[in-house]
Amino acid sequence: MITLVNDILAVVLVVSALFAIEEKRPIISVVCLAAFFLALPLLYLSLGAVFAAVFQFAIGISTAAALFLVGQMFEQKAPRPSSLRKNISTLGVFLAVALPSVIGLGQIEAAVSSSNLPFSVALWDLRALDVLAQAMVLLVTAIGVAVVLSERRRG
Amino acid sequence: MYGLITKRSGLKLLISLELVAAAAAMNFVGFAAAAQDTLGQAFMILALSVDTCIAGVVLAVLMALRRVHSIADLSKLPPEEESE
Repeated sequence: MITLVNDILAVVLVVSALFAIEEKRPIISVVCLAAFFLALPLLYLSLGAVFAAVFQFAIGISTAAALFLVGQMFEQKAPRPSSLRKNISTLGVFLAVALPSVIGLGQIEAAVSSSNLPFSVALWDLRALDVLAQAMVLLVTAIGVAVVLSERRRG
Repeated sequence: MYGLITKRSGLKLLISLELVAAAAAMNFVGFAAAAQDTLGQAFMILALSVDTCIAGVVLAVLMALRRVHSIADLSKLPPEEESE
């Protein structure tokens, strides 16, 4: 039951994050982000992290409120409505990408809790690929920033 | 990361930044829950505080940009003037 709730919350998180990025109107985008910030503490609660849930809820809602005001400021007069077909196809692609990790979440959790591994072992043995990918992303971002800044200075 | 790469609107960039930070915090909490360790929650709270500070600064920069240059698209920023 808990795993099912976790899976549903994970899907809600992915979909709301997708619409927060892809939505044309800033207000709707911020509302989707607020939905993300509402679902995230629920996921933390179902994982048993009560303190993290309370902190995330307080900070998430205040961030969403501030962004809502800025979004209203950035709202333009007549935005072009986004097509339903494009939205559905983008949602399908994102769900197809996100589904393996959502399904694998329960398996990883079961593996860690059943063998009672230490945190560092769980990080490096079970999610080593993710950690290396994140390090690569950080490295590429740092190189990209350096390139952009040098181009700006040269130009 | 997708939003940070493809979007040029300042608000969308900030939202993408928030999502990246939330994903990192989620990793902390997820691993802490799986490993039955509360240290991850402590790291997550620290990360959340830093993320909120960053969001505040970015929000301030966005509002200043809007006030001075009347733009929300960061790619339309005028070039910086050289100061001798």
